Amino acid sequence: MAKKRSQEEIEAEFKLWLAQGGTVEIQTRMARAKATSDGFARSTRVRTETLYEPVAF
Amino acid sequence: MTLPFDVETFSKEKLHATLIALSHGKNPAVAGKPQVRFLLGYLETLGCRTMIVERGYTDRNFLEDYAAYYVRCFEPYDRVCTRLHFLAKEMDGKAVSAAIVADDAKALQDHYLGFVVVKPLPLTVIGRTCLRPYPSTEERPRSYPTVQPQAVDLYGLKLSVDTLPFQEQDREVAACASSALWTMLHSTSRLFQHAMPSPVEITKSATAHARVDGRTFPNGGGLNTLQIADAIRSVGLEPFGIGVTSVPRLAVQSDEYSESAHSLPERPPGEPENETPAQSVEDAERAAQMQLELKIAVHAYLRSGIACALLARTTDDVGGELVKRGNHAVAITGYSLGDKPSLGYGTSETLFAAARLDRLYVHDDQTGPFTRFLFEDGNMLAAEDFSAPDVDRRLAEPVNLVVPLYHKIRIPLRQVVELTVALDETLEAISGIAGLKDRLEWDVQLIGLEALRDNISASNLTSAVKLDLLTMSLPRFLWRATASLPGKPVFELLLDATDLLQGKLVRRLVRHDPKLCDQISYCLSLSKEVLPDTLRPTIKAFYDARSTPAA
Repeated sequence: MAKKRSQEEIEAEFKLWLAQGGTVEIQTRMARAKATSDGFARSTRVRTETLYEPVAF
Repeated sequence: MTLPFDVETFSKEKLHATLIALSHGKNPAVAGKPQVRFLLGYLETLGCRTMIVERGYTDRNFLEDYAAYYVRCFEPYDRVCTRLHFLAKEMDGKAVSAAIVADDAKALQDHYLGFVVVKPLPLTVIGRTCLRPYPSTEERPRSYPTVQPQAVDLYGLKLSVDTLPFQEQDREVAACASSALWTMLHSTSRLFQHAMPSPVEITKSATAHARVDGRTFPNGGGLNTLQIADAIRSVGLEPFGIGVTSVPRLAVQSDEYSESAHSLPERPPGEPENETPAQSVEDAERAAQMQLELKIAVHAYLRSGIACALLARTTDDVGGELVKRGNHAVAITGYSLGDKPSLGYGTSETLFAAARLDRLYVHDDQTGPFTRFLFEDGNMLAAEDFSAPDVDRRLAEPVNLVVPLYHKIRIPLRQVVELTVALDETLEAISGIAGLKDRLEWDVQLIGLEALRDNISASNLTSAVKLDLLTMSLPRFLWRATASLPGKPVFELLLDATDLLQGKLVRRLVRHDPKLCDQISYCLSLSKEVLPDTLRPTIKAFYDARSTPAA
């Protein structure tokens, strides 16, 4: 069974990870997240041409 | 003594004979209608055994349409309808009479499947239809968030059926969009307390502005997206449109099935005959992502109880040849989640529970209530229950999803998706240290406060957590984003759906796994300098949750 880590141990481990490239990884992932959510917003916008369909519903 | 009702053993012949007899001019073509074919099969599936024919039924919706349109015809159309009730139990006239006299609603209620109002018109006789949906089973879990109890008074017997009303378009006062709107507004009239317009009122309000061609009545031409939006505004709601089309192209020029078929347009000159494999893969990926966007939107909005209108272009498979038909609108009323693993969305490959949606249940006025629309490859839906001569399969390509929203629901889905995706990527980055062993799956839904409190009461949370959550002050509408590991929720974020677009949104973090949430919180607090500002309220919610009662 894995040893239960204290808050201090987790924080120390995390600070080390941030310093050793974690910060860059988070920034890279944030850029990817932004691309995804921008893509969602762009893609789900109603296209103007569909508002004036020559044949209605 | 002649009673104003008949009790019949349910059969195909009896249903056909009754509908033909009730149509104007006793039209035999009524029996061959796809809606009647579907109705028969649907009632047989529900185990219908008995049909009660309630003669002389005045239907408010038909009366409004009658007063506005049919009464002015030279031909004397009747204004009184007939209501057919269906029971999954054999009963005779004597037993029904005895139940009426004894006020014994229970004798019918346990087996009551619902009713269909038959309109005295020549062909489009299927009026307000309130039938139970297909039951949910272990093999096929089905959810119908839009159904509500519908009270039925049968000669003093107080019956009830959980349903959402359906009716077919009559092509006079309503086209398919009007019928879809009528169903949709039924769902919102109770949720948001607005008046329920009849089909003729819907068509009138939709065509009051911006109609530059065609005429209001007969409404064979249908409604475009802007007119659908106008009809929603007329009852005081806000139309929210979501684009879900993957391939830009013009609609075909015919929406009548009976009219001549239009084959797919030829490829423009100069364009290569076949796509390159790379293009083809790119298109398929694009279509899959568009389909996922539709699923995310439906799964998010439908569970608040709002039926959404799906506007689509239809194509028929006729002996292997794809023939383009017209535009079509249906009202989405339910869905089913399969057990297929989630497909990641976008470059971040965020997992949404909605990806497991494998079919929708829709009120399709060309077929019937709760008909099945199956998700197919290539951002297509197959209308499983559609039937027409020579057509092997009907496919629908989504164009727009229209959601009628209460004006206070201001935060759109895209803002919730933005927050979810950013948090998902953050948690994926810190997963090793925070102790997240698998990728989280996100379940995003719009929810009313009352429904949220019902969910909390029925949850496995501890009494202390329940009391804390049930008594806290929250807005009337919330977005709820639940993050789960396989088989267990980890936490849920409650966001204020009524907040300003520039607001902080996050109201509360509910911890389902407090230990894991605390570990996440330690890591988030340390990385807030490198995270975007949009995540600050979420980081604070994780921090604040540490002092709340443990689940």
